[in-house]
Amino acid sequence: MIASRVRLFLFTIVLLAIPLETLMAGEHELVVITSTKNNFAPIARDDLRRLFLGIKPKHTDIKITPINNKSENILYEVFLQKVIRMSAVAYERHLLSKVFTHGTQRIKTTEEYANLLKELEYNENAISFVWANDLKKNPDIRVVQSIWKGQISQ
Amino acid sequence: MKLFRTFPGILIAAVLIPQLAIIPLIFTGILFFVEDSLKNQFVDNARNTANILSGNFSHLHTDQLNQNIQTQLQEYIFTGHISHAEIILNDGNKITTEGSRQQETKPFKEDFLFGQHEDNIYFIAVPLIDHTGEQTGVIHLGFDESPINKQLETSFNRTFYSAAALILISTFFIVIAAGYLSRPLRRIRDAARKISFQKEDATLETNSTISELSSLGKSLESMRQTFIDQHKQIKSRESYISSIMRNMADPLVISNGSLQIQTLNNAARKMFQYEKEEYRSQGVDILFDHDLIDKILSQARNKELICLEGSGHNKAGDAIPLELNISHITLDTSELYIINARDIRVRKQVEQALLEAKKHAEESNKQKSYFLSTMSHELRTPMNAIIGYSDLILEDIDKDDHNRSDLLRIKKAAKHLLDLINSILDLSRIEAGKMELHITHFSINDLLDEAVSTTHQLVKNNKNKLTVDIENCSETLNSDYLKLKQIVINILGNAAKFTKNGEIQVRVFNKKIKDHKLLCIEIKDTGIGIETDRLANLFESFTQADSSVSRKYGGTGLGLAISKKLAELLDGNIQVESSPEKGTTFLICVSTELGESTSVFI
Repeated sequence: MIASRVRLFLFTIVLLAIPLETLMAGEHELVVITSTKNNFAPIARDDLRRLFLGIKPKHTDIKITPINNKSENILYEVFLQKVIRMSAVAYERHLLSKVFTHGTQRIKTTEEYANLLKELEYNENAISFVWANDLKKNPDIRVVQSIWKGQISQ
Repeated sequence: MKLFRTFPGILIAAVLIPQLAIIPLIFTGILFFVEDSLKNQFVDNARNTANILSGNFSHLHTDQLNQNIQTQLQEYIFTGHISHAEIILNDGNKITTEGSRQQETKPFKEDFLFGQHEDNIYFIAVPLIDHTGEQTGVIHLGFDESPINKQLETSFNRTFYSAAALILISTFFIVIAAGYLSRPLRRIRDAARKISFQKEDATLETNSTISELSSLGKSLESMRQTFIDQHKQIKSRESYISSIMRNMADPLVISNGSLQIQTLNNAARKMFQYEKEEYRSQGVDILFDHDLIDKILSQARNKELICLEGSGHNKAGDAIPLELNISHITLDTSELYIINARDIRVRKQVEQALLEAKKHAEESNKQKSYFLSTMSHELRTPMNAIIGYSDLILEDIDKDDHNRSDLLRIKKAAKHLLDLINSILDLSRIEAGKMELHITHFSINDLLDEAVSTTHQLVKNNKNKLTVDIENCSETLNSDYLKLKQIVINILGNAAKFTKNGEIQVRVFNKKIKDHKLLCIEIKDTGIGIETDRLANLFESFTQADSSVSRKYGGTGLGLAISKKLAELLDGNIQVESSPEKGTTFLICVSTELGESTSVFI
């Protein structure tokens, strides 16, 4: 009896921790974006993964700077599942291990959408990911490719 | 709630309340950590598996695809990595892998968070890409979430039971510890109760191994011993005072400020004829008359001690004359009258008897005075006649007449008898206190001249040498001239009488004892002296050193007795030192400062 109540309590907390948008079912499309100042072709799924893991891509020599977008939890989780194929904790651990074992610079992360756009404007070789629906008309930003499209339901 | 006012209760509360507050926090923290960790591992595993499969299925020829996928998916299902898998081809065909579970009841809804859907399955869609890079379909993978939920429930249960066990074990040890701590205190409490019921054998020693409690027990025991000793002392003192009070010969009445009797001692009960406790809380009017009570109330209040006389009565109503010594004391807020009531019936009778005796004595004294004056006249008159007529006859008869010697004997005997009568009368007067002093201011030289002149013939007859030495002293004094002369003549006469062919020295000097000025006359002779054993009663009446002395030397034996009494009358004394055959020294000392107008009657 107590166990079930505690479970209910924990579940409630978990539910409250999930952003409200994620509970709302609807069509979502995860897209890769970059500055209009470059002319990147769509990046292979494997190379995209390598870029965000901090590993040199196989099919391109262009120096591309990935920027993690943590402005929305579900967006980040979809990106991790569809591209990185890791949990958030494992990915974070991996990024840290890259920094400490190879001495490379940590992949930039932003938690504010506005900041992300500024970063992309500032760094013409940078790429990131957003919901296509959230991408407002911006002359400096363009969609490189679509990664995933589907429903996010409860 | 009563429990938490006890030593064990407070201990339990002190330990359990923090535990009950902290343990759920720790418990929740652990659960969150474990849950987060497990879910992350699960999601990581699911995504990794999806990644591996995605990698494996890429770049294969379309004809190889289905075969390979089926084989690998079955392998994953059998090894428990995934719970179910199905392939959705672009043309809409659905191929379910053998061994998959729940695919009918659980429609595919892709999960991006653990437990996102209530189907207990974490679904991931993996694109199926052929060797040309074209997506030919999608593989739906399902990972069973229930083992993680079970693991979480197990973790919760284990943590809960561990916490419960911890609380129970803590409570158990606290109860034991509280009992161990409170047992000596209970022992002290029980002993204190016994002591309060005056069971003095109860000990406050705890015999505890806990030093503080042991020390407390020892201190309390020491305090108890001190109290017992003090109590014994108080009881002993109380018993002592009570015993004294009870057995006092004088009746004692103790009353409160409202004069209600509190205590009567044995003597008082006996006097007033009351039994024990019969008088308790009654007013003192059962003992004392109202007049006496009024006196007590008006005079005794706030006085340390007053003495009253009045009348009381016993239980039978018989009147008792009483003398009361009353003390009024205040103890804290209560007032007490301590009344020592003395039955003065006997004293009154004695007083009455004394008054009668005094009256009788005064009557007797009158008769004695009358007798003395009468006897003085009646005895002296015939003696003076005998002496006078003897002198007349002696003048008329011849010296050779044989009757002359007889007449001389008659005269001598009559004179002796007259001296004796005079001495007896003097002594009687002194003893009756009728001797009157006539204080005058006179010269000691005159007195000595007269005394020496009076005794000159006797000194000459016995061939003695008399010297008088007056040292640096005041030559005049205030005293009774005749009495002092009588003393000096008596002592000097004795010296002349008992010394033959010897020397008599008279020395006069002043002496001061404290502020009292004395004139001393020392008369020293070289006569026959006095035996030491006879010196003690030398100044008693009719006493001479030896009976043979009176026969040989004559005298009445009253001279020294009268002299001593006269010297005392003159605020002085006579002392004597003597050695047989060597001589005697008399020292007469009298006050020089007797008041001129003083008439002392002894």
